[in-house]
Amino acid sequence: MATLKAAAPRVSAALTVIRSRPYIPIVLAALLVLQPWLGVDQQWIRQTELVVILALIVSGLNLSFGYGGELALGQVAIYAGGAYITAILAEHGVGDMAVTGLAAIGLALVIGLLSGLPGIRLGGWALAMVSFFLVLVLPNIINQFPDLTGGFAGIAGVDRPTLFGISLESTNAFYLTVVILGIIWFVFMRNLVVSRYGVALRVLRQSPVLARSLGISVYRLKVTVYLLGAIPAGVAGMLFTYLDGFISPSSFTFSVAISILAACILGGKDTIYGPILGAAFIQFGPSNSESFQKYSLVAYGAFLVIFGLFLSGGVGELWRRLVSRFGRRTAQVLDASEFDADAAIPPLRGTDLRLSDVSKRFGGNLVLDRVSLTARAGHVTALIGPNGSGKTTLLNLVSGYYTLGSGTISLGDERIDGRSSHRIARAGVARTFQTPNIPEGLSVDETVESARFARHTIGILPTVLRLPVAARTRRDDRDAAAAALDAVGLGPLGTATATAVPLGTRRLLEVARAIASEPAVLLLDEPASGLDAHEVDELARLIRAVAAAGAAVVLVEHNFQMVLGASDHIYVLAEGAVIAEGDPATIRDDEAVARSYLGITTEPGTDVTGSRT
Amino acid sequence: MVTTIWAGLSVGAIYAIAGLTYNLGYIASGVFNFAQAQFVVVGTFVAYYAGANLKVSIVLAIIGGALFCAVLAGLEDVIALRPLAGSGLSGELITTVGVAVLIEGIILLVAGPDPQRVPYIQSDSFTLLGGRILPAEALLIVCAVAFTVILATLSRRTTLGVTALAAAENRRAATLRGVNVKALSLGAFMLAGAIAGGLGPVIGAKTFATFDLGDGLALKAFVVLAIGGFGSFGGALIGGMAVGLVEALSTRWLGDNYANIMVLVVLVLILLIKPSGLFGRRVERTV
Amino acid sequence: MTTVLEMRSISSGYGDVRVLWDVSLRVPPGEVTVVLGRNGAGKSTTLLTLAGVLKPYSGSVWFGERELTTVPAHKRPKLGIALVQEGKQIFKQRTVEENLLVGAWAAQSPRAARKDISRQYDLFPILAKKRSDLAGSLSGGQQQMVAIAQALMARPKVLMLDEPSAGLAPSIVLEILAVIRQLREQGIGVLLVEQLVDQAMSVADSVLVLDAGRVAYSGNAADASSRDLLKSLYLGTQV
Repeated sequence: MATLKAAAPRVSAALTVIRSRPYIPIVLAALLVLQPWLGVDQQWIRQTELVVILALIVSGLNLSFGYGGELALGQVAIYAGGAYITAILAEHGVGDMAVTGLAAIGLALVIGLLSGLPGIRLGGWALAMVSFFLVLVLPNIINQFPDLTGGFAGIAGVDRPTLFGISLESTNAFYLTVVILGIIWFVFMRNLVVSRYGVALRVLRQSPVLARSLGISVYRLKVTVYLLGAIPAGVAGMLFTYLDGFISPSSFTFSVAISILAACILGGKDTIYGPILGAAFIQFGPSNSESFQKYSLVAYGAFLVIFGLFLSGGVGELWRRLVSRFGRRTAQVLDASEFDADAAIPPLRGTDLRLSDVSKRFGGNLVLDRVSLTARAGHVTALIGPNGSGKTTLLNLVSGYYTLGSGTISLGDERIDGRSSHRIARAGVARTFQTPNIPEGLSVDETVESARFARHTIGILPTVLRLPVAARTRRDDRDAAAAALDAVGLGPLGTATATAVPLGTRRLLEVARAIASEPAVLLLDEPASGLDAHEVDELARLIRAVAAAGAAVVLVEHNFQMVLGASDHIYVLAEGAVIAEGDPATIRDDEAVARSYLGITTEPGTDVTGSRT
Repeated sequence: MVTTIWAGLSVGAIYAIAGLTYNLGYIASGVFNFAQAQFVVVGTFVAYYAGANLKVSIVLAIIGGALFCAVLAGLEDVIALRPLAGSGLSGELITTVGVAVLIEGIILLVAGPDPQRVPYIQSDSFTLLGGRILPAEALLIVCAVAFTVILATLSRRTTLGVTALAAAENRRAATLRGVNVKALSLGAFMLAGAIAGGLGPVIGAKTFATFDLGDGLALKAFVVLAIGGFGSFGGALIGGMAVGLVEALSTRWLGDNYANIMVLVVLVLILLIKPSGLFGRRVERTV
Repeated sequence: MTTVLEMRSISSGYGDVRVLWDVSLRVPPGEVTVVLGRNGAGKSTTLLTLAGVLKPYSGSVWFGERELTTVPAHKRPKLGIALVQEGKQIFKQRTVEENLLVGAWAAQSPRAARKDISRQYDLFPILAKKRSDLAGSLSGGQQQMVAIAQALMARPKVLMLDEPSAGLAPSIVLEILAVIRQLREQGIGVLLVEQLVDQAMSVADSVLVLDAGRVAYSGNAADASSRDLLKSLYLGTQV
């Protein structure tokens, strides 16, 4: 394991993923809570309240857009919903914030579901534009029901509420409520982002294909995150109504939506605390004084363009860069341990993978022509053939990324063809990719832990509340990841930035991740490409070990010598059909294979490698 | 009733024209340039200043609007769009929305929030097929149809057009065959800007020079392309007329507020039922 | 006029992933130069660097007396260098004829080249029958022919082909090899990247073998020892 171990000492702590302690946010929170008693004037109190309210809405956008990857400005509609329902309830005599708060959250979730379920399915541009349009249509909807909403004039005279019997009439009492609610939300948000959900979201953002291959239902995760992001918007609406006691359609315009987007981008769309910064900037800048108002559009536009082009991570990214530059600890020499050929790859419950008469067309081309093959549990089955012979298409069909033309694919006795790819992954099909698919922003540990997200689930509530069950699951994740990393010999690299390690190490990392998902079948897509001879040998040994642990290993590979050494059974594909199959010795001597795959005509008395038979 | 239809078709013509220019930009770069609608607004303001302040002829107003907006569009392409190539939805949407908001903000600063009358086309309505119609409205419909025909012919029957469509489909392959893809994109954007800006006097006669027209227009242009298909000029014409009619008829039968609401409903339906639009194929940009 | 396309000590790659390390090669006119190597060895990277799509980290590209290193990709076809990428990268939503017409863009005289479109139909008769069909509806082999014909419309002096045989039936591969021989007769320099060793060697004048981004072997195709070297490279035994 010399080459891979040689990588270990080179991994300096500069590559270590820095998970900062929230010292600054804690200090800020304390300051905010104490503000009224620090001799600050009334203007600041109100501005702070407005910043917190805006930050709540922006934070919801960060969740669904920055972390979830879907841009939808539904927040404004939900914000309006929260505000109006609070005002309407107040008009009907409901003055308890616990009740209106729950109503606002409830309405937020309803609007979120109605817009999110179809919206997320649309995704991309369609979702973004529909949500923009919804903002455009808000005033029309509000004005269409003037009896309920007060039409253009809005609703006035909303008194400050009571909370559990305590009146929030006074400035300080209401201020504290706003600040504390804000703090609670950001604590939840932080707990979510640093949990395994945060890891899953980063996987999702990197590549939905990768997420599905780990068993994550992309649709469900996106909708969940979208709904979560609706909650702070609804609460913000409620707080806004109580703040001035008055709302009207002019508070929920396209311009407001733009300011939310600008604040999100400015602070950094995939940060936890960015929204606070962005909201402060927007609130103290363009939205502030009368004379500034007319510059507000220009300012928003400029922020969006500049940050969109140059600093897409917003101020948050600047901050991260600063931290990583100055937060470097002295480089540690990491211990190189020997690869143990009997290293504990946990026993895997392998199942036979069977393809029967599988055919697939793309446009006019028949890419796979009635291919049948069996990959038995505990064995390494190799698939070789020239470019364009259909090998990768076959793997993608098994993974469920393409639909079958005809034929069947079964895992043991169960048919898996026709299932969605994340279900197939959950049934036990793990894979690696031709180019290692490693998400940004994760450590080696977390990359491997991500494999457990879909198989060992835990709810959102326990996660944000940091209940013991969540901590236990996290510990199990860590243990499983450590075991898998040890098995491939990467144990010492746990805290390194996953994307920073060399190619060979990344390939092993993918195998470790696959092992951590407790697969029945492991699909390897050209794992040896780009590796030198030593690395190829170690890889081959690892592949044999995984099969020995029980899984059915399918190896698609170009390196003929490696295939001969590592596999039990070989299928040769050419132009979409199986032209030969057998054990390595048989394939080595096979004329047809030599001619069509290698393009070599052998001399009589020699085999395909040129050695005498 | 026929009057309502004429009104709907003429608003639809504006949407169609906007849609045509969005299409041009989309074919050129694979990006839905949100800010395109702002060039229409700029065009109406150029026409306003030309007519009300400088008092020049309509020809000069058209040329001025076309040139000014062509330059603006070219600037946007070079500064904001090229660096974005391939960065995906979030980058493109945010930046083009940013440009749109920026332009709108500048218009607000320069011209103020009140709509201004654009003085070029006389406003005595006449009767056509049983309904009242303004000269500007008739002209709009004619222009929408004319430009659709021109652009469709240019793109399908000229070598330059076919090359542009090919480049939209596969940029690298086109580059390897000697096509300067960046120059083509720039040219298409500038043409889109020129058309939007040059029609200022005609469009402004109907809409007045209004600083915040662009937001709604951009969204409706998206609906137009969703209906007609991204990349299809004929589809943009039909989509535009459809949206205009939906607005006019909903206002007449259901009430003012329902115009936008019904268009939203149509958008959602189209996206759920036939996302590629009636005539379009999504021109996927491959590297 | 002997214009040789040359790569001198090129190091190239994608972003910070270096693929080629100090690679030099020559493509003389009227000869077929074959590049062999395993997947990931850098064959496509070589072609893309020669075509100007990839900017090299160091080294230079020359065409005759002219240094091409800073010439942008879209200007190189006009100078006479054409690359046919792997994967049949034609314009599938345009007709066959439209595809060929686009190919004429880089010719010295595009108008004349377009009028001369019948040359391509002579070379690839099947395309004449399909001229008004959408290119995407053709079979894999036919699409490959469109790709080559499209590049030939500009009358290139050097034609680079990246794995033209991928996914094609052996009979079509033979047809393409025949076309390559014809092009050689016409004085065009051909740079052929291939997986199928024997087929490629059947048309090769010289051969270059890449291994992990470096030149492992470079010499005449007629040289007997090259065969064993090539085989061992393919079979993954050490070089």
